[in-house]
Amino acid sequence: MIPTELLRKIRRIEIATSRLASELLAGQYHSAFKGRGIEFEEVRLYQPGDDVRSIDWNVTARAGDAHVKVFREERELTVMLIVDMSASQGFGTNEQTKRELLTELCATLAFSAIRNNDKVGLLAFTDRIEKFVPPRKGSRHVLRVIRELLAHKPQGQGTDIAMALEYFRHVQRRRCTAFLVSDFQDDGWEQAIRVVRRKHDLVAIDVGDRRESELPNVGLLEIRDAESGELTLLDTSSRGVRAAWATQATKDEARRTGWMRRHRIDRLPLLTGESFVETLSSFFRRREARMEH
Amino acid sequence: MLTFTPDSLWWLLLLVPLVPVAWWRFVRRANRPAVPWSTTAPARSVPHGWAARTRWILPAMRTLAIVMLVIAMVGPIKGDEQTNKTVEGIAIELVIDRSGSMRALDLQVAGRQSDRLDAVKSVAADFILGEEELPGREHDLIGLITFGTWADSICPMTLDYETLANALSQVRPATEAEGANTAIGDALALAVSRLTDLKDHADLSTDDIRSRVVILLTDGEDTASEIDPIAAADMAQALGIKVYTIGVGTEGVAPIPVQDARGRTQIVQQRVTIDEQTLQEIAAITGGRFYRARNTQALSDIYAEIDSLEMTEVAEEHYYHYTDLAVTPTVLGGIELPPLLIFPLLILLGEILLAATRYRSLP
Repeated sequence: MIPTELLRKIRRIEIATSRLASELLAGQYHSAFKGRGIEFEEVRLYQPGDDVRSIDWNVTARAGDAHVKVFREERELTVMLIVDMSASQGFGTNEQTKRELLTELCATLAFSAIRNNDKVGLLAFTDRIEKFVPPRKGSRHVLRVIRELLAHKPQGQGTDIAMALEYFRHVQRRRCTAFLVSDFQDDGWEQAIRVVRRKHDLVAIDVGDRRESELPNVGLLEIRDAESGELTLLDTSSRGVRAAWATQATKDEARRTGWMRRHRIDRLPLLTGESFVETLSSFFRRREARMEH
Repeated sequence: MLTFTPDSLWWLLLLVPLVPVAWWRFVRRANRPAVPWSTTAPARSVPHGWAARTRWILPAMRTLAIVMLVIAMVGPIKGDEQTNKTVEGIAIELVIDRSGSMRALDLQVAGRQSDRLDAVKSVAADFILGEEELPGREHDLIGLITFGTWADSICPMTLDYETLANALSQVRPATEAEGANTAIGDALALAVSRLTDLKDHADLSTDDIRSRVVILLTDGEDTASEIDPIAAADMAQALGIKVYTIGVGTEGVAPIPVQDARGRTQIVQQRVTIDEQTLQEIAAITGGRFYRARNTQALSDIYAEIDSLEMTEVAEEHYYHYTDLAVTPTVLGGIELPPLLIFPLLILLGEILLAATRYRSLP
């Protein structure tokens, strides 16, 4: 039984994101995730109307008759949403929390995938595996994914990306496109990502909030670490404290970004309260351009 | 003397050590309100700012204020010992005979032969001012009446013993012209009247006068009264006045200086009589006593006895005037202290101000 409130939320997300998926990102998604491209299927006799460019001259020479190569586009794609649901995702200072942002994003991706007849699966994790929804097709399935994203109450608090990726590798044997949606408040995930990358197409979506690097000037501020519960008292009216905090926070992010760039991992940084459409769209364009090479 | 209000809430002091503990627990407790942040990891390598490091001042101030409030509530008091004497004086009317016979030289003053009046004056002065065995009177209204043929009020009821003694020293034996007879009844009646008419005095209200006493001193018998001594005694008795009567002088004959027609003084042995019967009766009627003084020493003893009989009631109350230090400014060890309650209030005010300004904090 789905509560009305949740139903309304799902509906809202569906409307907003499916429109996004169909109108704005439709073609882009298609081109960005073409799968591995074109797969050879067979060689058959030339028939009038066939593109002369597809004539396989080697076979034609051996057989004496004109043969053409027939290709099949490998289009059936599996999209896995690996979603960090740790407590730190509940943070958000700009209109929405990170969790809300990633829900909308995942819904958009899911609708885009369904529109392309792709399969969509969900793997939600914290410091444990929270939820696994095996990849499937159909808009009903997308709604289920959205519902899990919205309604699932995480049992764990922390973040264990390596463990989640390890699990993912085991449940998803076939090659797929995986979106790792997290705020990367964890250590030791680098090796796991590299392992996943060997087989899968991995996109890291880095969900953040403005205030994670930029403390507000509100005098003394007592903050609690969402995951560890640790309390810290900061004098945010001190310019030095704010500057040091910003430096430290951006340093962490820069290290992450640097590492991903070095390892050619697609990274998509998103901030709460900001429209991800533009970011996502340009990201798709970049990917498309790369795939055409 | 520093102490606490008796039957105060002193046991609240036992709670004082608990206050910092409670505060500490509150400060340390994990579920106190804080803004959830996605991560506080950067804080590990970031300075927290001096205000953050010194924020314990606020709970410390509040704790201190609470402790001081508790102490103020328990009621520190400073006691200054004070003594309050409540005195109930008596009114004494000295009635002294200055009739001719008081010239009789049958008494001694300081070893020298002296006339009766001098001896009486000397002893009475000692009675008033205090000398050797006589402690002197305090807080009593004393008046002086002398009489010969006529009774005169020499000194009204007064606490000014100097004046009284002065007036006493001026008393001379009455000359024939002044009337040297003995008007005991008139004098007693005058004394009774004086004692009865006693008005509220500046220093002593009549309410504080416990008893009224006449000390009647004579050496003879009533010879000139218009009022019968016994009638006067009845009057005194009716008005609650005690009369001590003293008969002074030797018995039989006494040497009396007499001026002859040419103005020369001659010592004449004269027979003296004291109407002891009447004096005794006066004393008996009024509840006083009759004494017979045959020499100065006896006279002095009689005054001593009257003195002890008519003890002034002095009630001394020792009490501590306690100052409640919580609300009253005090001087303690040379330091002027404002009311103690000021301190916690100032500290609380400071805490509130700090918490609202530099130490304003979220949440």
